[in-house]
Amino acid sequence: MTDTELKQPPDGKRALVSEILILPDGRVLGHSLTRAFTQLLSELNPDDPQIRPRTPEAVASDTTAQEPAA
Amino acid sequence: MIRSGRWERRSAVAAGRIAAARAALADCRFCAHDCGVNRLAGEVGVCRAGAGPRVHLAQVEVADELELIPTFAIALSGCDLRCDFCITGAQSWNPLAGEIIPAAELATRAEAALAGGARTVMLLGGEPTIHLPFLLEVVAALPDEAKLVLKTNAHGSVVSRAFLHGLFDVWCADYKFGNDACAERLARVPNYTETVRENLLWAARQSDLIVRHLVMPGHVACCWAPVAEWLALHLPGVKVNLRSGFWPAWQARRHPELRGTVPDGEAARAREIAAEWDLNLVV
Ligand code: SF4
Repeated sequence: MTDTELKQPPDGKRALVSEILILPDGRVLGHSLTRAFTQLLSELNPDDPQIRPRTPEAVASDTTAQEPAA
Repeated sequence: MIRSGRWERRSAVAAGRIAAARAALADCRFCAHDCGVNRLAGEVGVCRAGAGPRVHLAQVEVADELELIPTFAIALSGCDLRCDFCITGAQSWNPLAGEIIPAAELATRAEAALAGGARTVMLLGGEPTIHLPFLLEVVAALPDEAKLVLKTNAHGSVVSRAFLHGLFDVWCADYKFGNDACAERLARVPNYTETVRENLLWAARQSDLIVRHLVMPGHVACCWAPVAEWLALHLPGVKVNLRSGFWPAWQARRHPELRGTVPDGEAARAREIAAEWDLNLVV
């Protein structure tokens, strides 16, 4: 399967891509994390200090998020 | 750094540089490899990239620094480094990975993401600097008020710096290796230290700068320690993201010390070094 096929499923919608590695001790490493995937990870491990501030709720409650560019 | 007055004209400045950047592909010296190949005529240099890029990812992400997320990330395939542990090796080593997406379409999607709550637009790779003409096209198509982030390996040349000057609010730059021997062995790049330092000092003068260092197993003493010392002495107060999520991706298995994650003791030592140099750590 090519990259293009991976990112454009047959229904024409663009797929979102995240990659994670689950370690034997339960830690989860990830990159290219989307909001939806971060939500899922936070439900699996609500105490993860890397994931917690990146959930949609946490980002939305960060009032600086909507500031215009300096 | 050019301040507020820049934003009214950033798109125009970028647009005005596109033709010269395209012409520069005929004698490509966008990065410190300084190949001098004619990419317009099908010649390839170290990065193997042609005249135009492919996009391997364009989506809203939240994995980057908290001050930047959510970001609309546009990842261009191809890179001028050959890091064996690259987390996106399949796309970074292959400039033909992904799909061709016009700059205007990316800008439209970025605008929709900004309207939906994204805080920044991030151009990354691979290494975006090797695709300078396209990079300029994207910047020219984006709204002037958008906060733009360039995520780079800091291996660009004086040529690329001239084209990029004043266009990005934030440079998010890697400082991966603390010495040239590790850089040669793990990323096949000569003269790494001098190049990356030159780029970081320049970036700090003309934009906000976040320096990233990925802690690698077995490389705390040889790589992180000298990086931390140099940052403390030459860029005091610069934001530093000490990243702990190394995993043995891509061809990391070529190097025995890179076949696992970072042991707890080494991660702790890396944080100690950051504290000893009083680095301004961000997450
Ligand atoms: S971008 Fe760098 S590696 Fe690629 S052809 Fe130009 S000088 Fe060579």
